[in-house]
Amino acid sequence: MMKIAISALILACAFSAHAEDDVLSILGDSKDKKDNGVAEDVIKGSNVSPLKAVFPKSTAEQNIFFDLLGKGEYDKAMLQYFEAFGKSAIHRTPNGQALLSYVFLKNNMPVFAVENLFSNPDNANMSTVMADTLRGMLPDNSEIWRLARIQWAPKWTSVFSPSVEVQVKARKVFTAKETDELKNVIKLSAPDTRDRAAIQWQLILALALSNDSGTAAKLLQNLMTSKVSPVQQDLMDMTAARMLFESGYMDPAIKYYKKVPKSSDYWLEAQEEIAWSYIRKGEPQNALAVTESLVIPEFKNMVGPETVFLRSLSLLKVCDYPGVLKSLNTFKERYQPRTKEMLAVSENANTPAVKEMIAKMKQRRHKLTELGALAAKLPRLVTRDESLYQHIRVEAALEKEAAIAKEISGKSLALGTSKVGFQGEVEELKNLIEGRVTSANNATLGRMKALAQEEVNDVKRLLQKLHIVEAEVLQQALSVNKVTQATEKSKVIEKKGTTIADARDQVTFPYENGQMWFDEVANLKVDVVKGCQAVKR
Amino acid sequence: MKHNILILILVVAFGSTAAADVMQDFDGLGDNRELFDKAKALHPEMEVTVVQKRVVDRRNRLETAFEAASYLGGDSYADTYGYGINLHYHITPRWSIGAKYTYFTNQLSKEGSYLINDTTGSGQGQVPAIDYPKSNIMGMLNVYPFYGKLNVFGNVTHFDIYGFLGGGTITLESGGTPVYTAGGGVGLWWSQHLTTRAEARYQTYEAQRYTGPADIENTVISLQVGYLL
Repeated sequence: MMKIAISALILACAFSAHAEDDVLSILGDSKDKKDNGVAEDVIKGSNVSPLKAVFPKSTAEQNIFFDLLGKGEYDKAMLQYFEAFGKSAIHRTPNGQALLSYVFLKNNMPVFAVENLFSNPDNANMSTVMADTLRGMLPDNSEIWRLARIQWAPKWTSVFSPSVEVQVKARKVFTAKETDELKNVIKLSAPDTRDRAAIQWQLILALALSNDSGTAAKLLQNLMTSKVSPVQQDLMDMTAARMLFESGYMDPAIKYYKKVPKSSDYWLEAQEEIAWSYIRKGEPQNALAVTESLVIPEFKNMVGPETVFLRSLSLLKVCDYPGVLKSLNTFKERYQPRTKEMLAVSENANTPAVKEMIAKMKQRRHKLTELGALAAKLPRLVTRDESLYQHIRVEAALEKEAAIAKEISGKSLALGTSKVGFQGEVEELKNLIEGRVTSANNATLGRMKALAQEEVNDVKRLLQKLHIVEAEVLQQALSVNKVTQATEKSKVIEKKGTTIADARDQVTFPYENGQMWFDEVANLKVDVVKGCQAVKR
Repeated sequence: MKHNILILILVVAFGSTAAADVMQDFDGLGDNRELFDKAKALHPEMEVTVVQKRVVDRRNRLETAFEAASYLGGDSYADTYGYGINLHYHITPRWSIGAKYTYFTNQLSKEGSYLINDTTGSGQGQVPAIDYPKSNIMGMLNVYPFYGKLNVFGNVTHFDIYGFLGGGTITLESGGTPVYTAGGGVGLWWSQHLTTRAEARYQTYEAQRYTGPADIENTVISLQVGYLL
């Protein structure tokens, strides 16, 4: 009996040694292994990864894999993983997937690791040893939780901490109907943390959208004093202004809109909304003053079509019909070619301009003004869209990790192989990586298409409104005689501009139509006398 | 397969229609020019002006400025330069009051040297009667009625054109005597702190000559570089 056992052991050792020698020769490390006696090491278990305990019935190829892990040869282990587990049932198990993620992490590929791990909620059922190991490598404060695309499932709560759950959930875009879920998540988060602030921000938006402006405003006020706010001050000011606008408090809303600095990407939008506030206050002359600055040619790629509509409406309100006509033509001149461009992007986002913009954004986040002439061929919100930026960040990270994988597989090719099928495993890894990169790129382009489509829809909606404005002008023109008779003896109505609140220490300069210094933008005052009156002065 | 092709055709057709729709909506927009002009009687009178805050706040601010000045006219036998310090208290951007202290340096002009060295007449050079200024101190009142702005290498700088009156005491070789001045200048406010002023002013005082008192009238050209506190 004893003899049989010893023979089996010798056979096992011999087989194991042969297998390892074979693979390691492919991996270019056979000499050392021969000298050191790998089979002996396996028997002694000195170099074997502790993770092997999770896979007690391992094959020779799997033993080699664990041996490589034990020796810290992670690049080789990554290739060996597919050889050892690729075709086995283990590969699809939670432990198999967790092991692959572990190997990715060890090869400095955290996005692949985390996205692979979270691709199936059942992976949360991995063994305790595996979970402990991964938790140790993915601490709560790891940036990866803010980068990788993760779908959180309740099962993950038993594996990762509430902090991770909050970080992951904070990145999800919640709808107005999900305020209860947001309130639950906020309870999980620790006070005075960035995670809580991120959830709080989402809750503010959700409450504001669900018409609970009161609570939203209180939460926003609280967030404005936070040192860990996830959003910039300009966006918080915009949000505060919008809440006030929605509640009908126009003057405080204007005050908050004016806090948005010119350097902000939100400045043009803030100006447009200031103009809307003036319209709602019944001060079209002030809306005209604001929009006069916004329709200058220099802003044509940055200003949305709504501004031109707003200007047309303001001009209509003071009966400046030639002005309305000019404004309608401005809309046509600017947005007809742009809409054509956006229609093309909405059908195929893989344009040279989009590619260039993505390449720039992979380096760092750019402002729209920094994109220069490129902005003409891109959706207007391209630099501000969080979702798009997130996709681009992931794509950039995955590309870096794909380069690591390529290098590893390249090494195996360079070192040569005599084993049939090994390149197949390399191909499997390459396909997996390329698939993820392509999927990230598709997500980026998909978001770009959606943004372009949104812009087209916006133009379509505003075109309908502008046709109504035009119809109203025609209606008024047809009834001009009646209005003339009714107003020719009336008292002259003057509408003085009040866009500049602080009257002290002002300087005034003449404004020649279309001639504006850059420091004069948003510093115009319009006085309207006898608009819609036929009275002679 | 046929079913799929049909769906594809519908999708493509619908997509093209939607695109065509939005492009067609642009057509005809703003084409009724005649009707737009018909209601001219109702058109408003509209005045658009640029209203800005001053780039540099000059309300209740104190400006200190060093000055270098050249004194033209006056005594032709002496070249006089002044180096001084000015204090301007800006009450508003339109008014400021201040004080000026000037230390003078004097040297013989070419004419003065020539006179001393010219021995052709009496065999001795003549010593001209020069009552050198040593220093002066004056109170100033400035008014800034005009303003403008410059584009200096892409940065907008505001400036004021101003006038002023001043009076005080000038210490001459012969002693102290009243001095009066009036002039104008351009003040450039480069930043919240850095200022420069270029001034031209008329200055008059009474100097002592061998023959008795004589009015001295100078034209002073000066440059000031200052700091707004």
